Amino acid sequence: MTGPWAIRPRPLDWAAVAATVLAAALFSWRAYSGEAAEPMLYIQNEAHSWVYPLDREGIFPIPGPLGTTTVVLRNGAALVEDSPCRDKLCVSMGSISRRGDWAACLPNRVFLRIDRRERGGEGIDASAY
Amino acid sequence: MPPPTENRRMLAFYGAFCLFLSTVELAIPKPLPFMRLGLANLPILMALRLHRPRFILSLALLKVLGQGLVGGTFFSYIFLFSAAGSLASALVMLGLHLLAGERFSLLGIGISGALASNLAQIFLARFFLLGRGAWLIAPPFLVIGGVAGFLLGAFAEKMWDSSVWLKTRGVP
Amino acid sequence: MRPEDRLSPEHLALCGALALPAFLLGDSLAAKGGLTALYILLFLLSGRRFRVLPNAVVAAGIVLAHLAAPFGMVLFRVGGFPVTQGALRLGALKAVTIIGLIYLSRLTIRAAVRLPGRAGEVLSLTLFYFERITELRPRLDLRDPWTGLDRLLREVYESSSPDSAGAVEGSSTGAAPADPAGPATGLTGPATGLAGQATGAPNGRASGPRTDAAGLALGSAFVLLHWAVYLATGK
Repeated sequence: MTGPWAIRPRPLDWAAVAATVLAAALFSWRAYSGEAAEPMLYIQNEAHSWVYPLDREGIFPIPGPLGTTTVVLRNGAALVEDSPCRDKLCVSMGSISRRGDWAACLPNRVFLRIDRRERGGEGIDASAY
Repeated sequence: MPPPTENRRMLAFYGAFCLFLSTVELAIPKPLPFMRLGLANLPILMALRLHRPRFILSLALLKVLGQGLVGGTFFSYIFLFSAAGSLASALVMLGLHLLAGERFSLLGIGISGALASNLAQIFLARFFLLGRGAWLIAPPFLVIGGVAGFLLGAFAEKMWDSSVWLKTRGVP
Repeated sequence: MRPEDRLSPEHLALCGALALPAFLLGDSLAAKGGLTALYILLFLLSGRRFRVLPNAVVAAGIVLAHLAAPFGMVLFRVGGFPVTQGALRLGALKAVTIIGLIYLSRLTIRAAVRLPGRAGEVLSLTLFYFERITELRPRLDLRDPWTGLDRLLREVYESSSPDSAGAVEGSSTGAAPADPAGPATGLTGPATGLAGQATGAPNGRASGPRTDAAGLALGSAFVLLHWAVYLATGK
């Protein structure tokens, strides 16, 4: 480069440029594709829906016509811990953790599903169950 | 080796130069909030070839403290981010200068310092400020920071070549 | 006379340091919002300018960044993307915390505060030189900034002896300029009044107000208010 700046790069300067480009590329991949593919827990009842990343732990009381269904998210997996239905089939479904897995308490109209973040929970449709 | 008071005077002078450049930077419009171009690192770059590691690290600390006091941001996250970025940058620049010496110009050191500073601040932003949303702003931060580091390094190289003050007063 | 003029820079900083944990640790959005509003009100009453736009941009950025990681009840969707209650609340809380900390800091930190020991001495000297540089109001030719900068360095260094009598008698009275280091940009230029916050003479003699009884009462009330709010609403 000529002119008043008279830049004279040395060999390792290019390594610094490469490191910056690589870092930007890695973060771009992480932010703009990696995050979108991250699995999320989607919960829905008749009135509302909820969404949680699988690495967020918590106990979520979800109201339904029969009472409260307790959903637990722990160690990257979700399960129905308790529900006011008679047969507790939802509880016996066990935990879900992979994309496409689902669980439901039909009497109490509560549905759980694991899906990619970019799908935005659009796949949950109470009538499909 | 100058007497301690002269060294302290030199350190304070470089520190004041850092503060002056950080106020100049405030007047420059930036595309994203929290983004820093790093003009205040120019004195650190200039001092790298002239002063000992302890001086450089003291200067980085002085820059952070001075900015915190003059800007009144001592208790805020701004101070935390400034401290993390400045210290990460100073450590990397100093390390590269000591280890690789002639194989780096101030261009490469400036770019590396900017990368270290931005990475430190991105990770702080992830865990203290923006959560996962920090990943979204990371790529433009890194690119703009890299360009700023390049320009700053080029400016510092030119300053090194042409400055009368560095050739006379700058030598301890 | 403003409240901060009744406290020395060191006591003012101590008030800020004592109030800080109570503000930071609280989890109530309403409480933090109220305290932040108080800081901004005090900031305005001290005669300084509060710029809405830069703070709004920062707050919006923080909220949007948190909304990008949704969790909690879905409030509504924007183009299919869920805007969730948990993310919105967390973003709002973070935004209020950031803005609040900035203004708590600006209210309670003065450049005239003295740090002990060698560090304090060097810092005082630094602010002395900083004041000298800004006094010169340098104009840099963008076509050849290096020459201008070099001239500035030589001029300030060679003409500024820390031993010269009355070199800088600190002018800090707590009078502060417009929002100098606001979150966004395009604010005051480099030579506008920040020098007014510089410390005293480089031998470390601080200037600025001294604490009186009223200042002590106000400072104590300020700190106690924070802890009362935290204990009432914190967890």
